[in-house]
Amino acid sequence: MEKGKKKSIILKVGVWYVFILAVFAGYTNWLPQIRGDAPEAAVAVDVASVSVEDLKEMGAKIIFGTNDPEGALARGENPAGKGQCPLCHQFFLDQKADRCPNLIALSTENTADPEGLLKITEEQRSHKRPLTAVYDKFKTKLVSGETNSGITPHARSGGEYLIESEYCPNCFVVPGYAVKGTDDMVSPMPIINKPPIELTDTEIVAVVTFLQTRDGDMSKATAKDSWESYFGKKLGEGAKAEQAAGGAAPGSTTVALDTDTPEQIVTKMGCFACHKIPGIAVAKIGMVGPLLIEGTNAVNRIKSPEYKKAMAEGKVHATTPKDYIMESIVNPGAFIVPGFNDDMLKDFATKFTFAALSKMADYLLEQTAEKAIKEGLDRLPNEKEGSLMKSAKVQTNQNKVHVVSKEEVRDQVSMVSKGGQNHKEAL
Amino acid sequence: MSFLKGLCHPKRMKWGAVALLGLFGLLLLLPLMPIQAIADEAPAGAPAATEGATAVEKAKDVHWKIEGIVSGPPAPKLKYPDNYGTYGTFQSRTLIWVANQQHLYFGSFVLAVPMFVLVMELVGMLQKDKRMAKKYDDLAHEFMKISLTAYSITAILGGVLIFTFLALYPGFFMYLAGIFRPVMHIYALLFILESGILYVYYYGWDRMNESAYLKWCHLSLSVLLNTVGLILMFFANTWVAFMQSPSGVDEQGRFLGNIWMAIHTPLVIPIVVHRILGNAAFGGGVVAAYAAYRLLAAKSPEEKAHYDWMSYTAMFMGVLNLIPLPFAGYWLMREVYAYRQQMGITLMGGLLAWVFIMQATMIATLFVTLNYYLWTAMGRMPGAERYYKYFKYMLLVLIVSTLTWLTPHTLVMTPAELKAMGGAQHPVVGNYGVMSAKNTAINTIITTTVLCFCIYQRANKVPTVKWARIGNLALAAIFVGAELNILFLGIYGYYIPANVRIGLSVPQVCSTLSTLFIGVTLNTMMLKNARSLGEVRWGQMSVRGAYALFLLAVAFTWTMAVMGYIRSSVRLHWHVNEIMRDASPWAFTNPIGYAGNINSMNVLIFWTMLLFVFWLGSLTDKKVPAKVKEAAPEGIVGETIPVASH
Repeated sequence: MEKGKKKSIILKVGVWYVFILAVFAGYTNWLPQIRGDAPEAAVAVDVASVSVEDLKEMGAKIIFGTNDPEGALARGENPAGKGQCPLCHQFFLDQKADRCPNLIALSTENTADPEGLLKITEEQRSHKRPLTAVYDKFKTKLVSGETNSGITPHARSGGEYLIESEYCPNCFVVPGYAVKGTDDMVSPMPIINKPPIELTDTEIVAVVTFLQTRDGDMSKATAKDSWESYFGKKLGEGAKAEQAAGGAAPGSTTVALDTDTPEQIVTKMGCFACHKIPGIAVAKIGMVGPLLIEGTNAVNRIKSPEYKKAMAEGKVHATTPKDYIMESIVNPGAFIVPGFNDDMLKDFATKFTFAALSKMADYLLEQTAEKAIKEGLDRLPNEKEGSLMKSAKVQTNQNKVHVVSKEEVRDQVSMVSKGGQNHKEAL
Repeated sequence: MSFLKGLCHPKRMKWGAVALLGLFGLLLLLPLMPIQAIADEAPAGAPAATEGATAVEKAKDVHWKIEGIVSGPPAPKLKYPDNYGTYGTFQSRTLIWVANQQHLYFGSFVLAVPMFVLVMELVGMLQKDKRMAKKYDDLAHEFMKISLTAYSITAILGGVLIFTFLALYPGFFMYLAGIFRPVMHIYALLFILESGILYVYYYGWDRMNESAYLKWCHLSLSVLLNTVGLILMFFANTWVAFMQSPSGVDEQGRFLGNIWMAIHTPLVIPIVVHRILGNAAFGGGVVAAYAAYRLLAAKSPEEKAHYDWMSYTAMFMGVLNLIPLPFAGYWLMREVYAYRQQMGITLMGGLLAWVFIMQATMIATLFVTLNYYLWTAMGRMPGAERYYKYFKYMLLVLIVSTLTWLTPHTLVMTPAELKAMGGAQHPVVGNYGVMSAKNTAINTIITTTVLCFCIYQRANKVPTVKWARIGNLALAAIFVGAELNILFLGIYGYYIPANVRIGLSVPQVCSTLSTLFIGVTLNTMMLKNARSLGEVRWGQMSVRGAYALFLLAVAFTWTMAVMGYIRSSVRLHWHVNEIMRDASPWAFTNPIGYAGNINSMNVLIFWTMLLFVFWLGSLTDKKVPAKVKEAAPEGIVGETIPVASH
């Protein structure tokens, strides 16, 4: 009797515990789900051959993580790219960030700014800053070099001032925005070319270009020249020397090249983080994206009603399996495999040479369900086509007369790979 | 040998105890020897290197900017899969997360319980009533018994954690071990010392109860046990703090030869303080849940009374540490902002902001449940009926404050909803999503809880001091004044800039703390020699009250998990912030839903293991029924027991 009572209490308490834990976990699943990816690797850019417009666009992407920050703001997001600038700087009237000086630049008259104060761009301010008495004070105090960066304030123009403030935020601090108790001498801003932001020189030039041309006047873009005059060397020299020495700095160039093997491409692009791919040693554990057996999948996907609908809407255009794979890499948001989210990075178009892209597509086309089963790789539970292993087992049970041989499994898989409809029937 | 035998003679036993204590004291000094050795080595090594011409390389500390001699290799640039291991298709990060969390839970529990035991034993020794003294002593002993098995599990889980690190994150672990090598040895030595003291302390309990002198020695052992425990925890925290805000190394992660600089990282002190309070609150919650279970399963009224009292006392001890916890959290956040502003923003307004909403939910759950428990507990206190009518108003205040506390700043909506509302911030509700409203809400919640506790203190009593009327007025003035100040500052905050507004949190917290310290002290003074309206009917706690304690315990455990997740996640894609990148496929930050699922799983695993610990404890009860009967307090049902609140 007593034992029964104790068991009943343990059971009740256990149920209560599980209920509470389910409520807590359920609540977290109900809240908005935001995944924070590690910053993207820097894109290889030859600054000499890039237009100011492209540099500006690149700067916007680094600052906001998107080329449409105002759209993101309207959706209730606070767009921030790898530069993380909008966490502290205000770029738009609708955005809230007042820890650091605002970088608003209104190109038109605005009722919220009757005196036109917000029309002054950072580019306009930058020209005056090195000429102020405050800047001279910093020059005097930091004559032997600022502690963290080793730089002595020496900007002579607006462009140089903007460059300097990225590499040495303590070289000039806008009064009122310093760390409290430091007599307006220490900036809360991190050094942008060092961890954790770690932008490359080219990326910093792109950011400054964006700031200089916010009002749309591209003739104001002096970032590259200012960088070179400030540091007294050609932009990109350091990186080339580093590459020549074989040292790849964190965040250095990562591009899939024609000479790379599929395994090298998968490793460089980090595909293995999300996908399982037969034949690639590192890609055995990805649980975010579909199993990449495109010899089996691609043909079915193109025929699927979802893809046909997307094609009718003009979102996708592939008619062959290879085109489908290439499209999925360079434009991953165009068609999302049912059961998955639009989680894939969107910048692979700038990270593949065409030959590398073609090579990767060919490799993926060679990967089939049969190869996946051989390596013990299976689809994720959210893949609509269902488990490869399970389908093989179901088939086994249906043919109870004898144990299915390896060859038979291969045949079944081959049959599955030949047609989506047949595959569904088999399941 | 004969000397040792002599020390065991009853007359010389006290000298034996002193010798034993002295030995333990000396053992405590042992760990300091390696540090001294390092200090001795440094100057000796430096000239030798200088003699060797250019061998010495100096670099600046990444945080403190002090120059030091480079004494280690740079942090390795890890590569996947070369520097990482996997077990099948499991996410290595999740595996290390589970291993870490389980070790931390048990570690916290075995470090928190001795703190309670120390207080209980001391309270017992200071009692004039021998029966009460024995009661406290037995309670302390029982607490200790619970933690004894948990101690072994902690050690086993520690081993599991190290093996998991070595198997899955060898590159990172070797780097960390390279820097903290001397301290890791101290840690191991302290663990052995802790075990020794623990066993002498627990198994010598009855023997050292034989004389007052030995009892004091026994208490001293408890002090030693806690001291060693705290040092152990401090060391473990320093590694975590180093990962979040490294110092003692240069920008490349090269160790600069001074272990103290690697220990004394910018965030270490607030992290340590926050964790001590958190562990103590968590320990209280766990013991309270244990006692609540025993209360429900108790056969006799005496047993029920004992476990009712035990659950209340454990809960009280836990809450004592819970109250200052949010303030310690504020301090930690302030230091985080001072260390790296973008780290603070990532926490409070960026990627991890929704996790903070979850953490806020947990804090609200803790305080609301606590109030509910106190209201229910007053059901067993004659005279408490006088206050029942106020409970609904307190509940209303708690609900309004909790809703404000949980209101997000912006809402995630569909484009159509956004358009209809005119922005992500709701025109009315959005106003309660800002810091001014949140500070006001949490301070109001805590103030209400303190008020509830004051009512609990006087539920079955009527003050008889001459100044009772003035005292009551003063008490009312303190609470009303504090709340008005909290509200005023909250509203004022809407009209001033953010950098000024942040300063208002200090006077708001001061208002809350005045109710806690001045209010409770005044209330306690007024209840001296108070007229009793009836005795506390221990054992008559409602079943709902016991279940509230379970909720409290689970909420404590879950809160620990979610806050640990926040602290760890804020490093983003760094193993060691800004020094050593995480190059594994799991360098991303999981969405909050995934974290919630893993947290719930961790809590479930922990409590399942704890059930095993409790079951083991109950086996000991069965073996010595006669002894338990002898030691059991007599006739405590319906008696007034001077617990911490009375």
